[in-house]
Amino acid sequence: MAVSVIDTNSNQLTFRQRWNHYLVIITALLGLFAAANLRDNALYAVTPYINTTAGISALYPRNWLIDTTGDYIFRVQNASRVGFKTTIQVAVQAISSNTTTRNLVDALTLNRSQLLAAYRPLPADNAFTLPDGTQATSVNYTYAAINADPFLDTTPIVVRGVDILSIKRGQAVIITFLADSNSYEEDYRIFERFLNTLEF
Amino acid sequence: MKIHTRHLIFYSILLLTILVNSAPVAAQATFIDLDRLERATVYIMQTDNVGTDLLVTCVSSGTIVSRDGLILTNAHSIVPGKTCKGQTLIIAMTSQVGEAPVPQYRAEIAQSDIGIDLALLRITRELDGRLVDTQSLRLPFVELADSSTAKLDETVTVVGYPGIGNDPVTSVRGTITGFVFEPSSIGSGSAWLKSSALIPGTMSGGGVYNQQSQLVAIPTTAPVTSSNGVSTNCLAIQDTNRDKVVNENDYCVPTGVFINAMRPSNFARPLLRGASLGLSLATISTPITASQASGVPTFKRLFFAGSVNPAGMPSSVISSLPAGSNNLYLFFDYENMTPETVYELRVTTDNVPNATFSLSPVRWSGGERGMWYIGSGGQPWPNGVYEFTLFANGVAAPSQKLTIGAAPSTDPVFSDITFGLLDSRGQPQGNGFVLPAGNIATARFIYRNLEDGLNWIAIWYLNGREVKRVENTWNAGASGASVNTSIEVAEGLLPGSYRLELYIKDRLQATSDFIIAGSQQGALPQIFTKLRFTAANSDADAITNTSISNFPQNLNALYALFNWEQIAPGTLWTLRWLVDGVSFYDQTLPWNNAQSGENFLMRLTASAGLPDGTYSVELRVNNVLLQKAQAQVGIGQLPIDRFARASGVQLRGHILNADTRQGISGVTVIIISEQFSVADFTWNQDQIFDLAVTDSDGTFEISRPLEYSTTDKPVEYSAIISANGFLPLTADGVEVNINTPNPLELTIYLNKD
Amino acid sequence: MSTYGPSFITPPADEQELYPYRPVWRSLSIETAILIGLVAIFYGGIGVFHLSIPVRIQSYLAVVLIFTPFSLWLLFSWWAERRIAQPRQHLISVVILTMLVANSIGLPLVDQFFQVDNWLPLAPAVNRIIGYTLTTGITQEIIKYIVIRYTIWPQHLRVRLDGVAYGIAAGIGYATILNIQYVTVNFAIPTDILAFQIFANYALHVSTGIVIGYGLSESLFSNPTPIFLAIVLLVGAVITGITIPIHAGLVNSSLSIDSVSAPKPLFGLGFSTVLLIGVSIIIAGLIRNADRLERESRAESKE
Repeated sequence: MAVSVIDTNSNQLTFRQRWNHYLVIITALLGLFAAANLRDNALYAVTPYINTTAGISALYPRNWLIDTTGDYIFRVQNASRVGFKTTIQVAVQAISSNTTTRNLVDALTLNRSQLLAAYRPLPADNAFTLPDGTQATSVNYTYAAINADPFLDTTPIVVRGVDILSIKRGQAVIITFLADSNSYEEDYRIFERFLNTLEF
Repeated sequence: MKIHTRHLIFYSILLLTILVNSAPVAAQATFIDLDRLERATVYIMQTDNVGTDLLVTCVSSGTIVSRDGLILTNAHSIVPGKTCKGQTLIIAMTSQVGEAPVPQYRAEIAQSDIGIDLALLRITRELDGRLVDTQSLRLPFVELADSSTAKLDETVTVVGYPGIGNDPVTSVRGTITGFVFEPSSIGSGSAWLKSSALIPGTMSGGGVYNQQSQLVAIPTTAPVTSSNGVSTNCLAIQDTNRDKVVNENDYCVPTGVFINAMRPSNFARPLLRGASLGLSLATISTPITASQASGVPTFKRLFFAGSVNPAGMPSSVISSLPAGSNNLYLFFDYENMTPETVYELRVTTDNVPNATFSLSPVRWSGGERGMWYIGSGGQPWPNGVYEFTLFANGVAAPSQKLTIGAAPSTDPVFSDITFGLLDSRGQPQGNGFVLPAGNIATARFIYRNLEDGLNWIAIWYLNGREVKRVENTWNAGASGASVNTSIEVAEGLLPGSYRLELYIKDRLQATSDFIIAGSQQGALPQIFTKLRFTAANSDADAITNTSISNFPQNLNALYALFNWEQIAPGTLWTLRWLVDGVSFYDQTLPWNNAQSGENFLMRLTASAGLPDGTYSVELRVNNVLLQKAQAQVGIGQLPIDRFARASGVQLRGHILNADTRQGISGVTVIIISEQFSVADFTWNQDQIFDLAVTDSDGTFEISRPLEYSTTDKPVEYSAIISANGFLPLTADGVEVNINTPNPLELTIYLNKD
Repeated sequence: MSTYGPSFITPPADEQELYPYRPVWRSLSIETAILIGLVAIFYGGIGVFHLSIPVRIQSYLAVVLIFTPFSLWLLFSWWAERRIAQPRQHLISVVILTMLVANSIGLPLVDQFFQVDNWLPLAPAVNRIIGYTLTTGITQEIIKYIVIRYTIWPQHLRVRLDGVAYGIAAGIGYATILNIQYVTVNFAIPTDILAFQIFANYALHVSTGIVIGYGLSESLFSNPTPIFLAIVLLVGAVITGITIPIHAGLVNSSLSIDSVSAPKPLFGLGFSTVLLIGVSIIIAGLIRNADRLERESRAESKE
């Protein structure tokens, strides 16, 4: 049996060895860059929503469950999320010429305090500028979300939400974002992307 | 070979025996979904706010009849009254089978009929007082059966809470042993079902189910209340007066007596239809209020009849009944009755209490005064001497005896009185029991076993006062078709409630009531006229606006108006509203308006605008339909309620992390409608049959039952379980059939990559 | 020039031991066989016969199981290495360095930056293969590559099998870190499931470690084309990208209303075993072929 042994290895790398190394690093970097793009394409993939009657269009996250049957224009929820389902909702509300943003904020606060457990508005700067430059008012709050099924063993989840109110063309548009308080910051990026595409 | 033949014969006989014996078993196989029924059965606590405490004043069972939280129960335990004084209703549900119910919600009364003793509650708040979004409620519920199709000896299951303590929801099986008829049930079957099941009083308000798991009746008994308002069957359980002692000075919770009467579910349909659509009717011209009689409730003039005509009048008065008779009606007059009055019928056979034909204490469903009957049908009356005793609020009224099994009587008989106006040929014309105002009214009756020369008497009454007595000598022969007798008043018969009694030898032979009201139009009365619909922004506008029969969608208020002529105050009349042919308002009350007038105004509203549908109004007197009108709103048809079906397979289960075998909380289970497959699913709520989210143990339950798939109508669902971090699970062609276990419990493991 | 070490004064009994550097395949086979045996024991005891292990013991057992591949490797590869004349000196260093780099860069990159759990499991099959190849695959293989490249390459590679040995060491290091993470993320894992997962990690990372190690050896000894190592990296990444979805797909339960939708871990065990054996056979063949070609070329040059 023959055995091949290299006694000494030269520290001098050949051209091919050097380029082998360079190319492997370049390949890895390219691969990781492509992976980041792939991730973004998957995580931030969108589906268009157009409502010509209400004059609202937006791109909402793909594979989020859309519901247009409630008392809102539409609501999308990340049904695949484990735990509280991150929610974006757009609703319109009729107003009069005397209705101010403050009135709308108060009405929303009163309504939510009736419906939501442990509802608590958060002290925050209420001024909000929408991506198109429109001035709006935001209300931040938290509440405890509880599974409505009385037969299940549920533990409340602390939810953080924000309502963004804007008066346009004689109606109030209320954009709501709700997320588990633990993942609020992370999911807020999705909401920001949504706001960038929202037209009304 | 001989042996083989013998074996062949033996095995053939054996096989035949098995087949013959197994056939009835298969036919009687029950598929009652007891799990769903028990989950849909709630424990209702009426509570009173005393300081910061909620003290229990009354308890009862109830049944959820709609997914969004409508609960059917008895009215006596939830509508504030003398016995049950509380204002707040707490709904407790069975979270764990075999355990005591846990308070979950607060409810409000959506519809109630105190006399019929049924009420519908609507869950409005969480236990902590927060408002409930009823659209998000997905409660287990039951469907109502057509109780008029209930059969004698049919197996029924009674579900309710048997106590006021730690008792879990319980089911009791029995059979339908009889039917009780009252005037309130004319046209809708029986007023009460009787059952062999032993039902504790606190199960009052629960549910009685047929083999298709449909609610056929509501077990009902009302606590008998003494004059001081304290129930006779009552348990003190709390120190309500804070004297450190729980005794008779504290509130006590009525428990009632054992129930043997069950209110058929058809009585609940109008309430359910009205409550589910959120309909509310206001009679603007004259508020319709329940009787406020202040005197002592009284029963008198007890007599028996073998049958009843469609107007609720006895065919004839009997004193005995031949052997094998199935039907018997006890008639009586009543006074000072209110819907809160509790009445009871106790029957003895040869002085032995007979529970089968007795009626446990129940609320009064008639008016303040008039004639009433309690009839029993469905099963033969055994021979014997029966004594019938009526009780009002626990106080006995005079009793009446009847012999069953006597030889056929040859005594003279008058029967089947009807009323009308005579035409030119001397024949009475009209609708039989409602005559127009005039100066003459004629009664026609049938006779048999008469002898010429016999003295007979006809006595006419108006509003309980005798107005005419005619003593005659019989000359029409032994038996025959009919004979007329009339009352004539030159100045005209006053509108009101009339009664005719026919006597032979001072013994009442036949009697019947009729109404005189309205102007004459041929032989028919014209009491209610110009029944019409309109829409308006205000009640005042409604009177002046023109009538409309087609209304646009999203109508806020629908007005109905009519004029009336010559109807005496106190005359019982029936107002019935229907939508798409199903009644949602049906009240028989004394007329308490002027004798004649115009524009009796009613306003129908709904909480979220009137739903599309065909609305109609019927006006009746003595069960005679006198006026009817209908109008269409929107497309003229109610929207289809896709959640109305309660039968099917309940799907529930556990979702576990395959790595840890622990439940995963907050995972969404989506069942896609049968029209779509997983590939078609575009994450649109419209495509979803139902969805559920797992709890902290990974438990989920799809609240909407899966429809059975059959060869004629295959139903294939698809399912998706998608959770971030786990591989999604999908399935097409999910089918359930009658052999699928119900509830269907699944254990599903989710894997990670 | 060929030399034998001083310990080989008398001819060794076993022909294999004529080799001056330890072959790796026998040790790998023994380690793998023992691991499969352990998995089978736990599966039989807990999964089939439903023996219950007290929770306290279970947690100790988890710790033992996490380090079982590493311990077996220490025993059958590293310890055996110490007893020969010319041991591979830096195996432990490679293991520890891989663990450190995997923990500090690999895991955060995959879990937090790429967030693979949030999108890849729900993606279509092809996307998952591409996704796992580019994210998890590239990350894991470049780490193994860099650790070997900057520690022992080229000075400590004497024969092609040295690269494989160091590749296995890197794989053991990465698998151990993943096992530790698996146990810390999923609290109270049943022991049989843990055993399956540990073997799956072991098989995948040893397989890809072998590929990367072979590539590095080959780049030293054969002076191949400049894109050779990039291709090897991609092969390693693709193995990862394909293995993760296929392994998960085989193990994954199916949704059915007729029976419990239970996972099928034996399928995963079978697949992992086939993967490891397959990769080992292919690489062994490639090495043997390369050695043969080299011998022939030397012989030709001598002639």
